Amino acid sequence: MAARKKGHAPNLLDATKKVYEVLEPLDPGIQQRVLSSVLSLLGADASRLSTRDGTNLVGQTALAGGETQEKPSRPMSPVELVQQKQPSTNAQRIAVFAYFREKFEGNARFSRSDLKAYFAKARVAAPQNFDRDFGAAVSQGYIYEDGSESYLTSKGLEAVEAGFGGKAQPRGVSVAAAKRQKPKQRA
Amino acid sequence: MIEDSVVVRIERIRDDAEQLRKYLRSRYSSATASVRAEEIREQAAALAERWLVEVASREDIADALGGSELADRNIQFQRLLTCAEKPTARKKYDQVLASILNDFRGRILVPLKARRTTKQVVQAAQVANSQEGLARSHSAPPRMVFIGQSFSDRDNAVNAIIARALRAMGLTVVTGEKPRADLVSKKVKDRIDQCDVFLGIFARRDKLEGKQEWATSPWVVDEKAYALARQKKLVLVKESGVSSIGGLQGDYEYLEFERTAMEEVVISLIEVFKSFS
Repeated sequence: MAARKKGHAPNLLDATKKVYEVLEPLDPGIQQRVLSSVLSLLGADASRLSTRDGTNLVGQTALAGGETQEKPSRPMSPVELVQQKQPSTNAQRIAVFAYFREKFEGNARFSRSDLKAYFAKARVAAPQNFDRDFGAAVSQGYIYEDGSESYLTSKGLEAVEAGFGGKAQPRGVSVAAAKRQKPKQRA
Repeated sequence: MIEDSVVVRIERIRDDAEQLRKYLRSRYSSATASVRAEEIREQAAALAERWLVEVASREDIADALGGSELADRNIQFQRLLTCAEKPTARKKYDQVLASILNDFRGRILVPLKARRTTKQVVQAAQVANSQEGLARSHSAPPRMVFIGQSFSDRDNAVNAIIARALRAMGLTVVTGEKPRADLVSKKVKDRIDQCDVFLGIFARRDKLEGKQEWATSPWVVDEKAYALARQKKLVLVKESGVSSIGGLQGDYEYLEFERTAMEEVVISLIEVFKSFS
């Protein structure tokens, strides 16, 4: 890429005028695409681009294959996503975080350690044995592990989107709870 | 440049193909057993459709893979779709899935990963190329047409009428050759590559048991899958009663014909090719 020219005093009005002249004849959709691309090339955050009504347009850009990828107009936090999907095990939570990363942060790849931080972001207690739980997510088929190139599988994607069937996985009753529930036998 | 999310989608297709292969083997222990279960056939069809719709006709992927790699995989996914359309022996699925998964990492994922980049860069490139794309959309009208057809004597008259109509429109007509074994030959691939348009004639072949429907020549379906990946315009001409031509994908025109009214398909072809110019 050509180096940026130095030593020019910024003339905001001239720059704005030039950009306006170039964009003015284009359709509104094309205007947004050009602006987002230019911002991307300048290293700025294109996601801040929005229409007058506040709708984010960058998330609705057509992909090369003609496919459109829609992002929700309002960003979602990991806390909200966990509340919505109701994962009941740490393996399921890890799948939810991988989903969050892909759908809301635009990054489908991760390493083990990348996902660990999401427990804090989602205000969920960190697992005592994260590696074991990550391994469980892999063995349950939610995650394909490939170092820093790991990703959520189709099965994981479907499971998260379905809210894990809408029910928590049955868990064993603890010994103490079992004792409490057991009716006392009369002699 | 390929967006990383596209590569992830392709990796998911690979994983699902592996899962399907394992599941088929656990469910049908005999290789000759007929796979009839609806849910498995639906799963196989959905997998093939994902590839054929999301991947098959992408120019950026074809460029990254080079040669006819994408087109060859397309043929296998098209065959998977064909398997799923009717009860098919497990060994047929095994063959198709083995071909799909053959060195998938080395031949598909590694070249794609070497070309991947961020979404923002892909978008910027798309904007830069938009003018070029507009110019391409006004490209010259097609001059050469490949006809994918059956080689049954019964279909000679139909094939001849269509070829004659195309020649009368000033087009150069190229046809394939009688297929050997289970392959689209290199010679046929080269011929398809030379042409601007692929015209597939999907004539009736074997009658389906208990139905007023017919299967069509499987190699014409394979040739269509190849042409799709080579970004050819597709003109698909199907005889009434043919049950399936392996799905509709890409940039295509679709016509149906009756042997007793060939003049109608000829007129429709004139209209279609006129619209290309």
